[in-house]
Order: sequence, then C-alpha cells, then structure tokens
Amino acid sequence: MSDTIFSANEWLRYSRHIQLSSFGADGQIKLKQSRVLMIGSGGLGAPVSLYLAAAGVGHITLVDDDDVDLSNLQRQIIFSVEDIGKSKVFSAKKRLLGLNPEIEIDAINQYFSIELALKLGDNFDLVIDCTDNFSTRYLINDYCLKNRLPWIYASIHQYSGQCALFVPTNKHADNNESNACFRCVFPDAPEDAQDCNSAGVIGVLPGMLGLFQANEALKLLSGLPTPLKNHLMLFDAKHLTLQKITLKASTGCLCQKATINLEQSTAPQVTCASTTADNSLTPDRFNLRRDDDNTAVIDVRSISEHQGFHIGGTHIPLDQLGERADELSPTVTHLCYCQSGKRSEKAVKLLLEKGFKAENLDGGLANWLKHAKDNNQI
Amino acid sequence: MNSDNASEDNASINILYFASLAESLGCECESFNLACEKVSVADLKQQLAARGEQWQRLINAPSTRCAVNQSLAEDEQVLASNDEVAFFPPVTGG
Ligand SMILES: [Zn+2]
Repeated sequence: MSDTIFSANEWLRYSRHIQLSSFGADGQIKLKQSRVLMIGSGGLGAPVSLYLAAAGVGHITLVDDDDVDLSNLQRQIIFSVEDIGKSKVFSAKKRLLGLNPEIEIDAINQYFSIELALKLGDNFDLVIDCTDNFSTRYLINDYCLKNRLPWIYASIHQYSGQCALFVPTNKHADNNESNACFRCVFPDAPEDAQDCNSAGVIGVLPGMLGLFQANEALKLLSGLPTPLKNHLMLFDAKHLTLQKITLKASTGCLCQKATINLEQSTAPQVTCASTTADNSLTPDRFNLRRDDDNTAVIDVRSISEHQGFHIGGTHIPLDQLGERADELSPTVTHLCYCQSGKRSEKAVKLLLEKGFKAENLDGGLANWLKHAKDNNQI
Repeated sequence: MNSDNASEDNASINILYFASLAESLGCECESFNLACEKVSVADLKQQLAARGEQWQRLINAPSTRCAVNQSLAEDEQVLASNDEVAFFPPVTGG
C-alpha cells in the first residue's frame, strides 16, 4: 500500500474525479503535485480556495494581510462569525484543512508587495488573482511575466464580472506564439477607481466568477483544454449575458520586452477619493459633535435605507434636501450621514452653498458601524 | 437609443455597453447607423462622445476598451456593416 501515490482515504475522497472521463487518475495525480499561489483571500479567494482544496490541489499558498470583518460574511463564505477580527489567511487555512487534511496550505499574512513577490520566487504552477484592487493586478501581471507563470484574473463590480487566463509567452520556444498580458488589455487604470469597497456587489457574484477561475485552474493543472487563454470573459449577473473577447498581444507592451525588472514594477496610479476637508468627521468626532447643543443630525439616504436602519436624526433624502432646506435651523451645524459618505458629502456641499453650517460623517454609516463594532459599542 | 433615421442605404452596427458604462450611460445596447464609409473605432467614439458630457467622459476614458466582433480592437480599426462593437471598462473589485 505504501508504494502508491494516494492513500486509500485519498483514493476514496477523489473517486468522482478518478471516474470522470478525460480527468481520471492522471488528472488527480497532476492536481496533487500542483502548487498554486492565491493572492487575496476575500470574495473571490473564498470560493476558489474552497474548491481547489476540495479538489485535491496538493499545495496552496494564500497571501492576504486583511482581517475578517462582519461585512465580509455577505459573500466570503469561507469565514464564520468566530473568525471576525482574525487574520483571513489563518482562518481560511483552518477551514481548508478541515475540508481536506490531505493537502498543504501555506498562509502568508502579508500584502502582496514587490518585496514579497521577489521572495516567493517561481516555484508555482499557477497564480490566481483574487485581489480587490487594480494596482496589485499589475504587480501580479509583472511577477507572472518575469517568472513565466500562468495566472487567472477575475474582478467584480456590482453585477458585472471579468475573467481571463494569461499565459506568458515562452520567448525561448520555437513557436511564434505571442500571448496577451493584462497590460495589453488594460494599459490604463480607471480614473474613478471603485475598488474602495464603496460601490457594492451582489453576494453571489464573487462566487460565480471565483468558480470560473477554479474551473479554469483545475483544467489547466490537470491538462484539460483552457479556452479562456487569450480571452477576456465579460459576465453580467443581472441579464445573464456572457461574452468572450479575443485578446492579442499589444506591440510595445511590457510583455514584449526581453527582460522584466520586477523591482521597477509600477501600476498606473489609482487613488481612492476621500474627503480630508475641514467639514469631514471621523466616527469618534461625529459621536462627540452630535452631543453638542448646537448640532443636528440629518440622514440623507432613501426612505427604505432609513427604515432599514438608522442612527437617529431627521430624515431628508438628498434629492429633497434643496426644496426642504427651509425646515432646517440656520443656527445649528447639520451633521449629515448616508451609507458610504458620498451622498452626505453632496448634502454638505449643498447646505454650505445655501449658507447653512454642515459637516459630513466620513465613510458614512458603513464606516461608523465598523468603528462601533471594532470598539465593541454594538 | 437610435441616433439617425434608419435607412436601408446606411450600414448599421450593433453597440453593446458593459458594466458601469451601461449603468452610467443608461444604455446597454443600440443599433447605430454608420453615416459614411470607412468609419473607424476612433470616428465612432467621436460621434458617441458628441452626445454629451457623460458620453464624452466615459467613451474617451483611456481605460475604456473596445472590442469589434468579440476581438479587442484599436482606434484605427475600420467598421463594417453588421459589426458588433462592445465598450467595456476595467472592473476592479474582488
Ligand atoms: Zn502585454
């Protein structure tokens, strides 16, 4: 029994793969011998890591420096209530080994930086991008170009998702194959970066895109066809439409250069807009200010949001604020809040223009609640 | 949204808008008449941008990409009748 690749338990565990046509024992052996680097253990990372672990990928390295937050549980189904406040990668490792103790998990509780990329080296068969920001994706791209590692990109926004498999061209190979890289598709980052957790996302979407990634990963590792190579998949969960765009390498792109200098890797600048103005309040400052006699709180969200949950104050939706301004006292300072701080910022601007005194709860109710939760106030 | 009067003489294309573009422009797809021959992606973008501030900002954003008949296309590509043109932005979350 000891001269076999799999134990009896493993052979039983993976029997549905072993009996699967064009997968079989060959595919399962390849999975067991595979090393996968997963960058990001959030919305995409949860389904990808659960399915790769269940499938029997022999070695998975998880990289993320984030901690589990209550607002993650709407979609990051790998975590439980008891993980809140704890490291995502350590919590994920525990859960994955609970699911499949036959595999190895490395948990790296760090942000994927140039330094870490250099340290990790090239001892992987595949990299999976499960990050939530654009700048890290450019670094993943350059890291994979340098080490000629295939990588699977996915990203999500509201109801839409994108997914692609990038396979760096082997410049020493005889064939004239020239594959596109992420920079070929997106040489420019978006100006109004919405990767700041403010835009919202339907909870099943990272699950759907993550499973497209996991599907492509298992096929690539087990030697099955990977039609996503050199294609960008555009998926819309609202209308259930799916398009596959054929990509081609762009002349002059970094991927066409002979050597890649990872130390010089930079992302087109993406910055999160945040209010640093004098009339912006942190949750702590907001709590102090609302106890002052000369302040009044206004919730500028919609009626359903106000009914759903509020932290007091007068309710005047932003779109009615202009016409209802005469209801407001001209002497007190109006402390405005909304869900993310964006609408209330507009409300403050409007009130200031009309000659009122107004201040904004920065980051909105979402930030206020997170702060209160972190401080055991709720 | 239909920009010109539909005429049998004019070559028409189909335009699709993805993700936040569809949302911000209030348009998911439209049939569009190419007014003359040899209309390039750049010409099309110019005509769409003329629709207003929002169109001009989003269609001309450097990060907005264009595909013609499900292949990534550059500005110089010339469009033909019945082509399917898709505009899509990078999506950043995870
Ligand atoms: Zn490239």
